[in-house]
Amino acid sequence: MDVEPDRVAVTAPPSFDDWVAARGASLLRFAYVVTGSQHAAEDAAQDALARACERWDRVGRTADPDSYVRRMVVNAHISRWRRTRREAPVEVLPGAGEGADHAARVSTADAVLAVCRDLPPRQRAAVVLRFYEDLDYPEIASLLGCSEVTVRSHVHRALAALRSRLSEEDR
Amino acid sequence: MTDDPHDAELERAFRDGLRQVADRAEVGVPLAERAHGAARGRRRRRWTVVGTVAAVVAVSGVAVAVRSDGDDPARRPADHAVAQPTSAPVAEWRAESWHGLTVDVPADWGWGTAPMRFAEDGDRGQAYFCGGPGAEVAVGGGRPAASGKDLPWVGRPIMLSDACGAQLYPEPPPAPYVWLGADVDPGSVDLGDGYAQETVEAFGTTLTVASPDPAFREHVIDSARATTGCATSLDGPPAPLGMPVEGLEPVHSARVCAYRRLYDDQPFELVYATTLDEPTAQELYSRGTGRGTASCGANPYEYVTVTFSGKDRMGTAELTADWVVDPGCRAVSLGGGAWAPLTQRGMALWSANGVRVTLTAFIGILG
Repeated sequence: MDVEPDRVAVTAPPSFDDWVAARGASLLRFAYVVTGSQHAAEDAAQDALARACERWDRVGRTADPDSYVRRMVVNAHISRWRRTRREAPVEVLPGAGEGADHAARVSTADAVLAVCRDLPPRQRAAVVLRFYEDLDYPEIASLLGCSEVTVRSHVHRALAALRSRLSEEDR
Repeated sequence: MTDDPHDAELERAFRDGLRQVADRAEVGVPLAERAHGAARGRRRRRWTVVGTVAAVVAVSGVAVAVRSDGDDPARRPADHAVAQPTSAPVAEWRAESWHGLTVDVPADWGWGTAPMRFAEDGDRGQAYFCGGPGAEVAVGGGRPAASGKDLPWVGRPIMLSDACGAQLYPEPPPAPYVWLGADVDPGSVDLGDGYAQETVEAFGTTLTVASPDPAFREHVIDSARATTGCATSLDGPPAPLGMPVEGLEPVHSARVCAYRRLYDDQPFELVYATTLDEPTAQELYSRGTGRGTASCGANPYEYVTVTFSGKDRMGTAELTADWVVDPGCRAVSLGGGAWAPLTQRGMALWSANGVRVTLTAFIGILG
């Protein structure tokens, strides 16, 4: 063949399987914080990846397949919630008794998870994208398909809820 | 980032907490394998649907062949299942308006969405649909039939849900379309399968046409003109102008202009306009409102004006009468904060069209 294999390897987008192998764990962690449970995270990731798989010739060539697939995870979770109109159960957190530092960390994570659990899916997604993915507000607005003002409002409410919950725990 | 040190602390707590939560995820899941399996299942379901449609068409074909044996071929039913409306000459056109732009589109097309970008601060990222693609409402105001996604449509950049599953628009598209005000840069794009998309700036917004037929694209673009019959922008909610004391008799038409704005400090923009024919306008005028009064607060975001044209009941002069409708409250303003309720029939008479995918009053918050 006349094609130079090395050049093809450099310019071609990754195969779907290669991309999942490299990014799958990160995607599942993201799905876990978006959905709040292992089961829902796997469902959302599978929905998103099945769609991405079908159109990988386009998705793989985009500048940022991660962003695209994560958006689909959020959409899959929101769509599923809209169909069932209920939240997936949030898994029980590990118990305390493993040392003061661990207890403090668990307490913060517990409070964060509890706050997220009480948020509607889009608000939770906004919080996750802001504080887990470190996206800025315009990026989140673009991902969620809403205005930047709405995103700021979601995040503001979540911060207020966390403040309130941590205050309760301090008492 | 926030300037408030307490908020900064809370943000840090959120970041730390979410990372700890993420670490609890079980990541040893065969994602690629499952995705391939799910994708195969999705393809099978699609083929099942296509196969069912094909079987129905085949059976219908036999029935038609038996029934039409010896009939005049000109009387045979048209094959709507495979017809591409723009590949045949367009028999009738209708006007569609968005802000200051009005264009002609085939009268049998449905209505749906157009892509929009959500990012602000000058980010020119990818444009997405929020609803669709394809027609979401057919002529008459109902949902399209099962094959509605293949129904050509006029799209507006409106979110069909507050929790939409936004998506990239497909190439090639499922059907021809005309987009008004889409967030698309001017120019031509080859969409594949013979489709080309042309976008021009016209009358303060964008006009996009996609079709395999260059003559069709040219016709639609050439039809672009300034909107008339409706104000294209309002600084505040429209005020009722009052009615002729004598009333109109007969009413021969009504002009419907729908306005919306997204934020309190923005003007109301024209997002949809249509003209009702004489029987519809007459019925709406004479029997559209019910008894009693409605209790409506100020609607900061959506209004519809309906301007009836008709004869002076006591003379021969041409007069108009204006309604200001709050579509969310389903009522007509009588002025001075008083509202008359619209009957269910009254609502349906002016809204059996694309306004159902244009105003939140019909779309609903969650679509």
